[in-house]
Formats: sequence, C-alpha cells, structure tokens
Amino acid sequence: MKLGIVDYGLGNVGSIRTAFQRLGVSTFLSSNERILRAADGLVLPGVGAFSTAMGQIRKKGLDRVLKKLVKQEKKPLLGICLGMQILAEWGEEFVESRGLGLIPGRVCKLQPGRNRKIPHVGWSRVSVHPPGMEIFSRTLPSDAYYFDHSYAFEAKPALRAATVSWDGQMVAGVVEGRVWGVQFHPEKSQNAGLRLLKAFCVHSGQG
Amino acid sequence: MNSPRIIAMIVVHEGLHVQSYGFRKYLPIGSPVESAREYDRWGIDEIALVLLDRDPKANHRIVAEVSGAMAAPLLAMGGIRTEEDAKAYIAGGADKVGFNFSLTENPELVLKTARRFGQQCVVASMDLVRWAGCWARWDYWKNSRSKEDVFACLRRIELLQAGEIFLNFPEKDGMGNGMEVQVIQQIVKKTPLPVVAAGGIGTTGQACACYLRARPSGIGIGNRLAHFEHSVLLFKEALKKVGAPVRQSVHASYAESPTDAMGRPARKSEKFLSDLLFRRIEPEKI
Repeated sequence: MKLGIVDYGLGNVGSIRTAFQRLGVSTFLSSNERILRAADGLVLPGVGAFSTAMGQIRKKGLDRVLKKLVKQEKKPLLGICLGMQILAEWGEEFVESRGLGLIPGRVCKLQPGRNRKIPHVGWSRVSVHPPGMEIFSRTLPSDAYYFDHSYAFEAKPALRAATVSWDGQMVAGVVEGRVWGVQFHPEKSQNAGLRLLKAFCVHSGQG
Repeated sequence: MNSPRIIAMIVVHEGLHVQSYGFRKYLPIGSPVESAREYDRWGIDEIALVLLDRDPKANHRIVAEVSGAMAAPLLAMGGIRTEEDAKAYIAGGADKVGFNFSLTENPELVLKTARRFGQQCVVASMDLVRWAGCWARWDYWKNSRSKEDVFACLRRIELLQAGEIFLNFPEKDGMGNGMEVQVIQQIVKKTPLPVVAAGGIGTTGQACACYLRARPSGIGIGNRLAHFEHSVLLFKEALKKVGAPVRQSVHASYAESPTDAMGRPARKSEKFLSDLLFRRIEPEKI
C-alpha cells in the first residue's frame, strides 16, 4: 500500500509524510503521471495562495494529470487545506482564478464581523454530514481539528462532508465520489487527525 | 467556535531549550526536540519556537527536528532575514513564521512571504514595553524602544497581510507575576486579526484572568510549562473550570484533583488514596 503525494513545490509535505508514517503507510512525492498512477491513493497538500498554487500546478501539467487519474481512473484523492480549496472550480485569492474543478463550488474570502477574527485559526470540532460518513468514520465525538485559513469553500449541501460553526456553518470538508477535501490540517491535529487519515487509507481500499 | 489555544513557547538559545528571564538571562532546560515531544503528548494546541541563535543553518535544522517530533501546529520565530529562511522553516514543517525585526526594517519581506505562502502563514510578533504611560514596541536589535505608536503599528501589520499577532512583554518575561491584561484587551478589541498573548504567566489563575478579561485567541506560556509534568493538562483544566471551551485530547484528567496556589496538583485526601483502584487504559491503535 502506497500513497502518492502530489508535488508542485508548495505545501507542508514533511508533516504529511510523518503523519502517514505513524500509521505505517508509506508515501512518495512526485509530479510524474506514470509514478503517481502507481499509487493506491493521492494526497494533494497545499500552503499558500490559490492563484500561486494553480499557477504551479499548470506549469507542471498536473491539472491535466489529476483530472485524468481522478475522473477516468477513479483514483481516491484527499486534498488538505489549500489542496482542498483548489479542488473547486473558482477561487478569488488575490486574483480570480480557475481551480481544478474536481468538486463543484467556489472559494471565497471570509467576511469579518463582530467576534469573528480573520484568519479563522485554531482548533474546532466539526459537524459531520451524511456525505462525510466515510472519511469521518473513525472520528470520536470529542475530536477537534486545527484550522488556519482566510478563504472558505462554498459547496452545495450534497457535497458537504462536514461543517464547522463560524458565523453560521462553514464548510470543513467536501466530497464527491472518491475525492475528499478537508479545510483543516489532519497532519497537525494530533490523534484526531491520524484517525481521519486512517479512514482515508481504509476507504481508498487499503486498510 | 474555536477553543482558546494553549501555546507552549520553546525558546532556543545556543541550540538548547532555555528558560528566559527578561530577554536577557537564559537557563538551560535541554533538547528542544524532547520538550516538543512531551508537550505534544500532553495535548498542547500549538508550539511557538523562538530561535535566538544567528546561525541560519542550525535554525533550519532545529525547526525540522522539532516539527518531526510533534503533530500539532508549529510557529517558528526568530532568525528570518530572507525569503529563503522563511521558505526553509516552512519546508522544514513550520506552519507559520513570525516576523519582528522585519516589521519595521524589511516590511517587503513580510508582504512577500504572505503573497507566497498565504496570509495564514505570517505572524507579526511584537514585544511591548511601557514608556511614559504608553506602550512602545521594543527593538531588541538596537536595544531601544521603537518610536512608532503601537496602535498605528497594528494597522500597518494588517496592510502587510499578517494573519496573526503574537504579543510578548520583555519586562514580564520569566517574572511569573501575571500578564499585562489591560493592553492585551485593548489590542484584541482594536485589531481584526487573532491575537496570541504571552509573558508573565506563573500560575494557572493568571492564564484564566487573561482569558476572562481579554479573550485572546491563544495564550503563550514559556518557563512555567517546563516546570512540572502534565503542565499543559493542568492549565487546560483550570481554564475549563472558568468556562473556557478548551480542547481536550488526552485521557489523563485532573478534574477531580486538588491543586496548590500555582495550579500544580496537590496531594489527594487519605480517603481517596485508600480507595484507589487502578484502571488500565490500553494504548490506542489507530
């Protein structure tokens, strides 16, 4: 069992690899289509700005590769933080730009308000919705995850895996088919995060 | 709603985790990696690594080693002079990088880092000192106060696209006699950014007082966390008792424990000890 971490020069790859290592799952880092195809599942990391990330992905031709692997070959994929946001069709960070379009929706800036600090940073518990039952199957009721973002994914209810309470309910996880995305950082959320990553491994058919 | 974060500050001087007193005197504790590992096991919400050494290569290595020993968010501050330093910290596993000197001397670097890695990645660190009845930023580089008004600086930090403010107080550092709650409260009210406050925590009660009045997003604790076992759990227990929705992630609990004036566990009653039964908790397999 092997997971491929998509390498496009941005992202906290080290922490993600350490987390999977703790679960006994081996990972490799690549941007090559042939090598990524050999993986049982893909992880799309990300730290940074939406437009910068998409620029890097296009430069390496990864947008085409990911669409092919995920849409045609049904390879499971987990997007983390910015890696989740770029699954959307559009994002508006710094400049309006097109995303990978693997999950319908768009990414918009959080609006400030009374008692609402931006970025949304810290630990929060999430409410799991029916589409998220698989990826959150191992989550305990007390589990909280670490969030740090100033943009949020806007997706229709049927695609929401989980939401977090922040000025109403904000999307914390999205899912369509075998593509999952989480806004928080499971690799930085201690055991709660490991449980989620384990569920991804299991549901990618590699328990 | 977010839980208030308990943030462990690991000050690194000459490669060692040290206790810091007044930003001047340092007493060694040991390996920063081992400290991070323990804090992480005790359910810390975040670790702030404060790097005082000027050797970039050694700093990059320490960030990577500390990050590898923990699974909580990591903020790395100190020693970031160039974009390459910020990049090396982040590549090594830091989730956020902190700027202090650069806020005034090289604002372009702060802005560039925010553009490249996102606003959530950039922390503006301010060390505040009292001066003529007001507050001024302390420039540890020149060893003097900065002339810029603190509240004007807050606005500038926003424009530099920083995503968080980390406050510390050199005059409070290592004193353990309580935090500068009033100015922390003013800053929390004034800025739309999340604020983390540190400096002066000696007892759990002082952390609770700061939380209740100022409502910062996080509370930074340095020396005191290194003074006793399970310190993180005891701080969280105290905050929970005053109604703070702290995150609990470990089995151990001090909910029923009596504590002393510093917030450390006190001896339990004879009755409790004689009734004591042991319960085995199997290590969790994930």
